[in-house]
Amino acid sequence: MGTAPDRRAQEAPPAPQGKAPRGIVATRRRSALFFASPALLLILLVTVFPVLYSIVLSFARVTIDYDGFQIEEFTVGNYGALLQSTAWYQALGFTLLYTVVTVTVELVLGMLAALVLERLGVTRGWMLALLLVPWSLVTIVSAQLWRYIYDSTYGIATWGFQALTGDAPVILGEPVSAAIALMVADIWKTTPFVAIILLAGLVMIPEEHYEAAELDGSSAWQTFWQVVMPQLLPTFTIAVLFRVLQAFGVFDLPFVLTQGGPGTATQTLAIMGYRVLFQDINIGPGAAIATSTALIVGLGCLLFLRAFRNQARGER
Amino acid sequence: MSRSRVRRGWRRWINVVNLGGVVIAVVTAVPLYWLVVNSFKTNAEIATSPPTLFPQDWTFENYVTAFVSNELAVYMLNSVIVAVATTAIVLGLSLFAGYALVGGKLRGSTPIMTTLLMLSVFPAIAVLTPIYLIERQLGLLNSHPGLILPYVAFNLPFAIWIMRNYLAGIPTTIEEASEIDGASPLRTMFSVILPMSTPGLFTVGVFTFTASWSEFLMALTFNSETSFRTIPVGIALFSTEFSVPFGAIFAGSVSATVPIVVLVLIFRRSIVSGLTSGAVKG
Amino acid sequence: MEIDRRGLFVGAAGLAGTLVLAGCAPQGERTEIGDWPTEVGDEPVTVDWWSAQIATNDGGDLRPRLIEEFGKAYPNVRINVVQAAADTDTNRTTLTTQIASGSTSPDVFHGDIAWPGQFAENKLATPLSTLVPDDFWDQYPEGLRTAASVDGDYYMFPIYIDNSFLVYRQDLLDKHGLQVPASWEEVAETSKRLIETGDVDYGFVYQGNVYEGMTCNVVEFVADAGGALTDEEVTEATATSSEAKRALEFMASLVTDGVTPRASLTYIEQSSLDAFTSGRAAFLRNWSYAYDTANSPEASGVAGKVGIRSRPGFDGTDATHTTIGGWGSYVNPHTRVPAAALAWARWLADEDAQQIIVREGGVIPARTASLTSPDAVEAGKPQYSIAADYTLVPRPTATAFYPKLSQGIYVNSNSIVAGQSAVGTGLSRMERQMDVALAGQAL
Repeated sequence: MGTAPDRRAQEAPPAPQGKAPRGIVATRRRSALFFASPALLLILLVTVFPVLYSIVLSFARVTIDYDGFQIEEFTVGNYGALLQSTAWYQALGFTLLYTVVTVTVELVLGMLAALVLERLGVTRGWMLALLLVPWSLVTIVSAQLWRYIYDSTYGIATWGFQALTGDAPVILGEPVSAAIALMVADIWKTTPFVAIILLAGLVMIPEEHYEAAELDGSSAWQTFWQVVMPQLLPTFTIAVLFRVLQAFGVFDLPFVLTQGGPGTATQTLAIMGYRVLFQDINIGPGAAIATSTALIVGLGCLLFLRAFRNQARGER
Repeated sequence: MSRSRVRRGWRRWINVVNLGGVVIAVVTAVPLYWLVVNSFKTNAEIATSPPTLFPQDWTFENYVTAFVSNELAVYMLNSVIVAVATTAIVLGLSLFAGYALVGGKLRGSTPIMTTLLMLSVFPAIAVLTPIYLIERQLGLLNSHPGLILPYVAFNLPFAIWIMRNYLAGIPTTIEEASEIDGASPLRTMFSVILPMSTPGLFTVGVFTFTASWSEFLMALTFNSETSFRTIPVGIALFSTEFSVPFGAIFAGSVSATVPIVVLVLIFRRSIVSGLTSGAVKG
Repeated sequence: MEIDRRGLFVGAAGLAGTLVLAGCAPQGERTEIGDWPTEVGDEPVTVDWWSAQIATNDGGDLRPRLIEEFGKAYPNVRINVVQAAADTDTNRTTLTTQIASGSTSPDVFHGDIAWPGQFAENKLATPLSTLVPDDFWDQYPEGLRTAASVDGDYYMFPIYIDNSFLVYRQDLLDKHGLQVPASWEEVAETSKRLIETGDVDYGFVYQGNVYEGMTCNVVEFVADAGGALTDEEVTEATATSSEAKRALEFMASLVTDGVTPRASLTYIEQSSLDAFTSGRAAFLRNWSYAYDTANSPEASGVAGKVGIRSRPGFDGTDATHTTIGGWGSYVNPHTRVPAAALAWARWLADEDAQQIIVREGGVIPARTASLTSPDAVEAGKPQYSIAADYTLVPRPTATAFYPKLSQGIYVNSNSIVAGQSAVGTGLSRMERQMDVALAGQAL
């Protein structure tokens, strides 16, 4: 992925008032440097050290002493322990499943919601305000709300099931239902995020394209796939990318709702990392879990970007 | 600009779009209703089975607990300061950085974008201790900047991606026209680029605000003093060892969410136009 | 390429910084144990106390009262309360991060009774044995002494403990002319009878979820059967002993006989208490707060109809067993005010504070003498008189790997009691996993 020449750099404007095109490119680069540095420097300063620190610890046998973290010796044993641990494979599998399911459902529902929102007239403002509310709830609180809804004694979901099927399920007590419950709570809270991103992309599609499609006699389905999606792809790609990143690292919700339970059935990689780091106070393996998680999702994103490189760059 | 066509007759009200709107509204609102309604129930009623759909005894005791026995007002103030500051800084920095990273201006912009992605991907639990170490050395614990700095740093990558995406859609001709006119890059930014980037700014703003508002682990570890505590941590402290006081938690969160909702309702037209202003195209 | 060079530079600087800071000692001198001052001088000094609420009799907070009383003995020492979360895991996260980074605050922290093993190993707490007279610790019950010490060295000043009790529907027993059960077998019998009458849905409920609470219950039943899950030094698992087998067989039979509902295998403290206070269960094993809550009209549907007794034993045994919950004070090894911190932590465990807890607190004091003192008798709480006769059984916490050890216990016992594994195979697996955990290899 080098600096492939693109449309913008090639369009050199006519020399104004004696300024050479090269001068403009140089000015652009200088100003771009100036514009980008504060953000980039801040990110590097605040995140590079902690991330490197964790990576270093993941390759060490670490103990805690009165003087803090002590690296006893460098070793790949932590990663070896992970690769031999069924709990880790289980967490990895569940995290992947969770990510795939929630992101897919949210994209579909979010797309539908965005389409509806786009066509709403007067009520659009109210709808948008309503959609922002679940999103503005503190994640911990939203998790507590769903915990209350799923409670086995007085949860309204439990009673709803009982009214419908006569069976009183213990929703958070069985692995499968707990996983589904977790995903439902996540989907409820996050679909507005996806819908809003997609909406913002949707409105950028010019009116004429729709009119042209209508003149051609395309059905709504055809219009969607032939007109809307192609133009929406950059926005769609971003939404997918960042939703996948978030879902893979999900922590707050399972932490409050299931604590990774029952047992370790809904233990995501982040929860497992938390458990190993702070419950077992096992620093080396905990750092290894964090680093390997970052590596896995990072590689996934790289592959994704490679496949959708044009869309991700925002080019049409 | 709405794309709603004018429909005649019953199709004006009963159509797929409106039905879809109703479904969305109901699905979104039902848990919210449950949240609000239960904040007004007594603890005994919250724990009854079967659950009552409407409070039999209305009470404000949960709100009293949240504000009086716990210092929710202080927590709200801290959360607001941290979230607003974070959002403002992220908006400013990401606008400029996103613009700078649109293809062609800077060499190596793609590797930079990729690195940003990688950094933002690292799980927060692992960076908790190193950041704590740094902040302790710098004396940033129990302060507002102590939270704002990490929040900004961890929200910037996504913000830059979003802004870059929107700004890439701005035709180069407009930009070049400004350059030809002899405008400095800063001037171009403020008078040309900024007005056209509102959808991106709104998205970034909303996302960053909610992320900072909700963040739990860092706020718990860095700001343990009551005077600097934020809402998520404050609400987590309502719980006792063996019981979760749903009433107080719901009351606290309703109180924390209502100001945001009110603001959003007041400014809903601007939000809508902000998010959809990219529609002026073609 | 400007950016690449800059990136390299920053990366290198970051790496260098990492290595430096990783080996860097936190600033400030730590007080060595041998030099720990025990005399509090006269200059004003502030002690940061990280603590959660200590309940009073009526659900309030006992801490201001304790601080006020302490101020009379040490007028120049100010106690600054830093509010902590009430649950163990959240607390441990923050405390580990802070103290492992050498933070000098908090000076004293309120910690779970199950922490000494872990905190000793990771140097997160100060060893206390040399800082107080040798006989200081004799004022606490033996089980508590075991829980608070690691390899003979004490790490925690106990403040209050929690015992588990059996609460039951006195009104239903009266209604059907049944006696209060005197053994587990009788609990099972009586439960079956009550379920038959239709007055309750469930017989005996407890916290059977896949979490720490299940470990507490299992440890108790195994103690009832006369055994233990590990050896005394907590170096080896003995989960396949005949006593453990008997205990788990009994717990599994409760479910198959319909005495304990399957739902109980998903209960934690709150849900099990809800099952009881909503009238669905006849017998409940829970901590001491459960009795008070069950009898309070605002919180319970069965207020005034509740009886309490110790957990019974099996037929033919006399001793009654409970495991130990509770919280105590740990001293931060990096504290800048060692003498004052020690004084505060010790004071909370000593007679004056313990008597206040007896008189005004809603928790069980740690000190044996306080539990049987005239104040306790006067307070008239049934939990106090029962607690005085209890045999305390600590969980096997004197190991650095307790969370993983406990996980081996609760995962497998839940599976056995739920009928998913046979008792024999389940216990073998439990023993294997416990041994792996004790070797520090569990992940």
